[in-house]
Amino acid sequence: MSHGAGRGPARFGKEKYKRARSTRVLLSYLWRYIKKYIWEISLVVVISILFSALTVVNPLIIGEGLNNLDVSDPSSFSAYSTLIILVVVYLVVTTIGWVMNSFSTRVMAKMNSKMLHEVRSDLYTKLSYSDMAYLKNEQSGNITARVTADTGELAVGLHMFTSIVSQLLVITASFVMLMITSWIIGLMTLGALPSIFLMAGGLSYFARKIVLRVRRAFGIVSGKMAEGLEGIAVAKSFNREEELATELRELNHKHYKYSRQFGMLMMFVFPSMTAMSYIVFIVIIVASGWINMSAFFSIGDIFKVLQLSQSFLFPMVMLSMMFPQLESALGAMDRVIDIFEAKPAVADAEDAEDLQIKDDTVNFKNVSFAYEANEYVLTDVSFSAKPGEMIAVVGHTGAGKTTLFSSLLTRFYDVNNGSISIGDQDIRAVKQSSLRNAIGLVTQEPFLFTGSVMENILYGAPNATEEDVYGISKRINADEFIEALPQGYDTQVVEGGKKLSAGQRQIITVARTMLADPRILVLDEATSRLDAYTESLVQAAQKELFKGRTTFVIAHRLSTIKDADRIVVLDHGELEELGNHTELMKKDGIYADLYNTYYVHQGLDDITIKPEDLGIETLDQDIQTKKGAAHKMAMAGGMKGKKPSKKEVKKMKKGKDGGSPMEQPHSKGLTPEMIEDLKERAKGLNPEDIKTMMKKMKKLTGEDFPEELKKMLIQISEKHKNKA
Amino acid sequence: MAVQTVTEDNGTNYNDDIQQEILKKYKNENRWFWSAFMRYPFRYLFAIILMAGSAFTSAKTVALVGDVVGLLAFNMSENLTIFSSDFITTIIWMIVYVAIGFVSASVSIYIWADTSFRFQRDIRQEFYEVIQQHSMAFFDVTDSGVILSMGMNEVNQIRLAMHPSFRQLVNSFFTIVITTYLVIEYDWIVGTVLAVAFVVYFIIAWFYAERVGPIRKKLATDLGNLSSVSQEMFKGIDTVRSFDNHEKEITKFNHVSEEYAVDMKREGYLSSFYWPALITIIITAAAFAYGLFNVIQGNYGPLGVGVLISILGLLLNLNRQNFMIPAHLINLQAGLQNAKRLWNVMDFKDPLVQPTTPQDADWDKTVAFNDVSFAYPGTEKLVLKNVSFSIPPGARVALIGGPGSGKSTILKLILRLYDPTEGTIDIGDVSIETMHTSYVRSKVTMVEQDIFLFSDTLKANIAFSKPDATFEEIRKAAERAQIATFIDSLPEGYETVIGERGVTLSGGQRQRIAIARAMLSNPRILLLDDSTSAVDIKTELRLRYAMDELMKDRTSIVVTQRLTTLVAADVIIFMKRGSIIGIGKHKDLLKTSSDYQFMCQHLPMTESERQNNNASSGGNA
Repeated sequence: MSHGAGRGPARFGKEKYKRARSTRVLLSYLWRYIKKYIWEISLVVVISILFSALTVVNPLIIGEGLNNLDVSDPSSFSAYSTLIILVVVYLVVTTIGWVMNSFSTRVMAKMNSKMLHEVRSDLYTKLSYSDMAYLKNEQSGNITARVTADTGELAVGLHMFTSIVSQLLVITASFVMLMITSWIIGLMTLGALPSIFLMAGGLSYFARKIVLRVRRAFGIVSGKMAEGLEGIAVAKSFNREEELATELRELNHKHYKYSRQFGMLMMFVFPSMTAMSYIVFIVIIVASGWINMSAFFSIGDIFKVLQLSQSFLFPMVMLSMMFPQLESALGAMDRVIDIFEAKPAVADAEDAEDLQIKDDTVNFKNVSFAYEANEYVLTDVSFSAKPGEMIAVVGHTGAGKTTLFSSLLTRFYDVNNGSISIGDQDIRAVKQSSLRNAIGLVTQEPFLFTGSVMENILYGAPNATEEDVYGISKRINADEFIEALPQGYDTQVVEGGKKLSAGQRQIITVARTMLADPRILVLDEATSRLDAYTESLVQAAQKELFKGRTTFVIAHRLSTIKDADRIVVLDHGELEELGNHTELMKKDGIYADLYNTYYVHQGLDDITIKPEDLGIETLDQDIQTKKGAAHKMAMAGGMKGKKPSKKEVKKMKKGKDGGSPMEQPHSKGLTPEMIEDLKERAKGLNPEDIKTMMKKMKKLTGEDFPEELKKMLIQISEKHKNKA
Repeated sequence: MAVQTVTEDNGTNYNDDIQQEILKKYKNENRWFWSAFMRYPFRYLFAIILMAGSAFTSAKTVALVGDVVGLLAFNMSENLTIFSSDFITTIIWMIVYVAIGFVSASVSIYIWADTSFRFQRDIRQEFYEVIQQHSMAFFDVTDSGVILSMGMNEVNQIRLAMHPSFRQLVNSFFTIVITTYLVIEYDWIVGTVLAVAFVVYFIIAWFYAERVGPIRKKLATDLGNLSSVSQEMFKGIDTVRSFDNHEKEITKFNHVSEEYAVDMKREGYLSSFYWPALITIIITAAAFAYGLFNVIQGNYGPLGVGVLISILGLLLNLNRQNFMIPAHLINLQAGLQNAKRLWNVMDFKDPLVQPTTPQDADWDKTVAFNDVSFAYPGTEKLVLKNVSFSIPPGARVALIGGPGSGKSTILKLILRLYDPTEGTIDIGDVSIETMHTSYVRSKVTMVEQDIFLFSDTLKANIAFSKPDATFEEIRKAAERAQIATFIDSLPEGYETVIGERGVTLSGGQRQRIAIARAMLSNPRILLLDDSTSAVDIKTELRLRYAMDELMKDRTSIVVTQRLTTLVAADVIIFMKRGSIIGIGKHKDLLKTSSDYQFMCQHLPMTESERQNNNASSGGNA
C-alpha cells in the first residue's frame, strides 16, 4: 500500500530534479547524522507507535461502549458505569495523545535543530576548504543556497520522515482492525484508493507545472525589482522611475495570473477530501444496512467501521500529498552530498614544515599549469626573484599573470609541472598557513567584509592594535581618506562597501595587506582604481613600503613598471622577456609592443589615430579559454587577444572541409576568405604591428606565414597609412 | 475585470507623490494590512458569504451523520424496514448538503485566493513605487538585498497571512459559531458552555500566537544573517584564503548557525505543549459526558444514540480546529509584523523635499556654488566645507582629489540627489532647491563611475534616457559614442541582449553605451565620473573621442584621472578634505598649487618627461 502511495504522484512527475544518487545511498549518508541521535529517534518512533495505537483504539473503545449501552434500561448500573468508563477513556486517551504529540514534537525540535546546525557547520567547513576552482565556478549565491536552503529542506524532510512512519502505522493498524470488524466494508474502503491516488497524482502533476510557472514569474519579478533597486541612481538621473514601475507592474500582473491558476487548482483539494469522506460514509452506512438485513451488525460496530475507515483514508491522502515534498528533500540531500564529495583544496603534506624566515628568494622553475586538463595557461615559466627585489609583471589579458602570482605562488592551486620555492623550500613542502602568513596578496577586485573600516584593516593581523592601523594608514597616505568618511574608521561597510568608491575600497585593502606585514607582496593591479592624486600619493609611499619585501606587481601603470627592478613579460602563458624598462625597450620585442599599446597613452603624448582607423572591435568573452589553433590564430590576427567573431570562426571551419580546426593548424591552408579578412585588418594597423602579428602567429602555430602574404599585408598597411 | 490598482491613475506631471498618497490613504500599517478588504470589498464579501454557507452545510452534514446512524439503530432495534423512507430522505439530504458544501467551499476558496493574489500584486507594486521615490539618502544606508527581500518575500508573507491563514480563521470562526448553534438545538446547556469556552479559547490562543510571533521573526533574521555571512565568505574566498582566516570565518558562521538552531528549538518547544488545546479537550469531554447522561436518561428520545453521535461528531469537528487555529494565528501575527516592517520603510522621512511651487531656470547662465557645505543625511561629518565656485556656461571643468575629498559629492548635489546642508547651488539666479528633481534631472545628466546597464537590448539601454527616441536618433547617438560599428558587427545588432542572459560587454564598451545613453538625453550640464582603470590604447582612444563628442556644446564637469583631460580643461578644481585647495588651468595650478605639483611629479610623463619618452619609444603615431 505504501508503495502504491509512493508511486502514485511520482509516476506523473516528468520534470522533477534528476538525482545523481539512489535513495539508498542518500539514506545511508543521512544515517551518519541520524545515528548520533539514535535514542531520540527511537523515542520518537516508539511514541509514534503508541500514538497510532491510540488513534485506532479510541474508536474501538467508544464502539464497544455503544454496544454495551443498554438504552432500554436507563437506570441500570451498567449504563452509568459505561458512561463513566467512556468519558474517562475519551478524556485520558485524548490527553495522552496530546502529551505524546507534544513530547515528540519537543524531542524532534531539539534533535532537528541540533542536527541542522551540525550539517550546516560540516558543510560550511567543507566548503571553506574546498578546491578554489569549484568555489569560483559556482556563483556565491548558489553555494549559499546549498548551505541555507537545501539543509533546511533536509530538516523538513527528516521531520516528514517520522511523520510518514506514524502515518503508515495508523494506516496499517486501521486497516487490520477494519478487516477484523467487517471484511466486506474493509474491502469496500479499498475501493476508494484509486480515486485518492488519481486525485493526488493529477494534483501534483498540474501543481508541479503551475508551481514552476509561478516560481519563474516570481523570479522575473524579483530580478526586475533587484535591477530597479540596483540601478536606482540611473533611473533617477534620467527620470525613468515611472517606466520601470510600469514594467514591474506588467510582470507583477503576470505573476498574479499564474498564482490565480494555482489558486484554481488548489480550490478543490480540501473540499473534495471532505466530500469524499462523506461519500465513503454514505456507502458504508448503506452497506451496513444491507449487511444488517442478513446478519446482525451492532450500532457500535457501525460506529467502529466509520471511524476506522476515516483513520485509514485520511493518512492515505496525507501521505500521497507528502511524497513530492519528500522527493524534493532527497534532491536537497543529493546536492548537499555533492558538496561533501567535492574536490578539497590542496592539502598540507604530512611532513610539512613552517616556512623559514632566512631567505626570501622566490624561484619559479619550469612552472606549467592548467585549470582544466590540457588547457595550459602557463607553460614552462622559469625565473627567480632576489630578496627585496621589485618585479613588475606585464602582459595582455589572459597571459597568465594573475594565475602565476595570485593563484600559484599563494598555493591556491598546485602547479602541474615544475616547482615554486621560497628560499630552498618547495612551497608544497611548507605549511599553507605559514606560507600565507608570509605572502600578502592584494587582489584585483577589492573585497571588503561587513563590519567597520577598522575591523576590515585588522582582518589580516588580529594581534595588531588600533594604533597600528592608524600608523599604517598614515604611511600609505590612506588616513586622510578614511578620516573623511562619515564615521572615519568606524564607518560601517554595507554590501561589500557600496557606499565607498572603488578607490576607497582599494586603498583599504592595501592597508589591510600592509598591516599584516608580509615578507612577500603580490599586488594584482592593486591601485588600478585610484584617482590620479591618490595614485601619486601611494606611488610616493611605495618605495618605503616595498623595502625589504620581495614584491611582485602586476602592473597597469606606467609609473610602476618604470620603478621596477626588473620586468617579467608574459605572453600566452610563457615568459618571453625579462629585464628593466630600458633594456626591454631596446629589444623592441613584445614589451615594446605592449608598452605602446597599454602604457604610453597614460601620459600626455599626442596620439593621432582617427576614430575610423581604430579597426574592428569584438566581443570580449572567454579570453582565458583558448580552444585550439583556430582560435589562437584569430587572436594573433586580432592583435589584442580577443575572441574571433562567430563569422570568423565559421569561415575558418568552412575552410577545413569539416575537419576539426582543433587538430589542423592553418597557415598553408588559409582560405581566400581568411586572407581577405587579414587584408581588411591590415588597413588599420601599422607595418610594425603586422610584423608582431606574424611573429605571434608563428609562435602559436610553429609554422611560417607565406612570405608573399606578409609582404602584401605590409604594403596594404603602408598604403592605407599614407592615405590617412 | 479591470485591473484595479491604486497607482493606476498616476499621470505624467511630476507633482504626484505616491508616498504621500499611500501614507494619507492608509494612515498606518494595520490599515494597510487590512486594506485588502477595502480594495476588493465585494469579492471578499461574496467569498465570506459562501464560506458561511459551506461552514453551515458541513456542520449540518456532520449532524446528519448522527441522525442517519440513529435512524439505522432505531430501525434495527425496532425491527423495522432498514431503508425506511426517513432514512432514505436523510441520506438524500446528506448528498445535497455535501454537494452544496463542495461547491460553495471550492468557489469561496477560489475567490478568496484570487482576490488575495490581487492584493499581493497591488501592495508589492505600491511598495516598490514608494521605495523607488525615496531619495538617495535612503538608498545610501539601506542594503538593497534587504529591500528586495521585503518586496518579494515579506509581501508573500503578508499574502499568506491573508490567504490561507485569515481565510481559515474566518472559516474556523463560522464553524465554531454554527456548530455551537446546532449543538444548542440539540441541547442548549452544552451549546452555551461551548460558546463561552471558545471565546476564552480564542483569547488565549491569540496571546499564545503573540509569543510565537517574535521568535518567527527572529528566525527569519537569523536565516538572513546565515546567508549573508556565507555569501560574503564565498565572494571573498581569495581574501579569506590569502590571510589564512578560514577558522575565523567558520567560527563566525557557526555562531550564527547556532543562534538559528537555538531559536528553532525555542519555536519547536513553544509549539509542542500548546496547552489551549486542553481547554477544548476538557470541554468536549464534559459535553460528551453530559450528552451520554441524557441519552441514558432518555432525555433525547428514541433516537438518543443518533443525537449522541451527532453531538460527538460536532464536538470532534470543533476539536479539529485545534490543529488549524494556532498555526494560522501565528501566520496572521507574522503578516502583521511584516506589514509593519514594510510600512516603516515606506514611511521614510525623506530629507529631500520637493518644492511646493517648482521654478524653472535659464540654463544658459552660470552654475554657482555659494558657500556650500554638506553632510550626508544622518551623519555629522561635513564632506563639503564652504565650497564656492562658479562655472561659466559651456565650460569644461575637471575635478580632481582623493577619495573622500568631496568631488563625487559635488556631482550628486548638482543632480539634486541631495540638497546642500548649507549654502545654495544656483543656475543663474534660481536655486536648484526650488526646482523639481525631475526638472533638474531632465537638464543634468550623469555618467557614473560604475556603469549600470539593464539586462535588456542595446537599443533599450541607449534609449533608456529617451524612450520615445526614433531609431535614427539612437543610431546617431551610438555613432557619436564610437559604439555604432561595434553594434553593427553583432549578429543581432541593436537587438542584442546584454547582461546575465545575453552577451558580456567589456568595460570600455559599457562605458560608451552609457555615453550614447547620456548623449540621447541631450543635457545642458554633463557630469562625468570617469575613473576608468588602465585600458589599451584603442579602447582609450575610442573613449576619448566619445567623450569629446558628448562634451560638445554643453557645460561639463568631469571627475578624471586622465592627464590629457586635465590639460585640456578650462578649469581644474582640486579638492581635498571637502575644500577647494586649487582652482585654475593646468598651467596655473602647476605654479600655484604644491599638491598639484606633487601629483604631477609622481605621475608618469609630465611635460618634462615627454621628450625623452618619445625618444625611447620610437614614436607611435
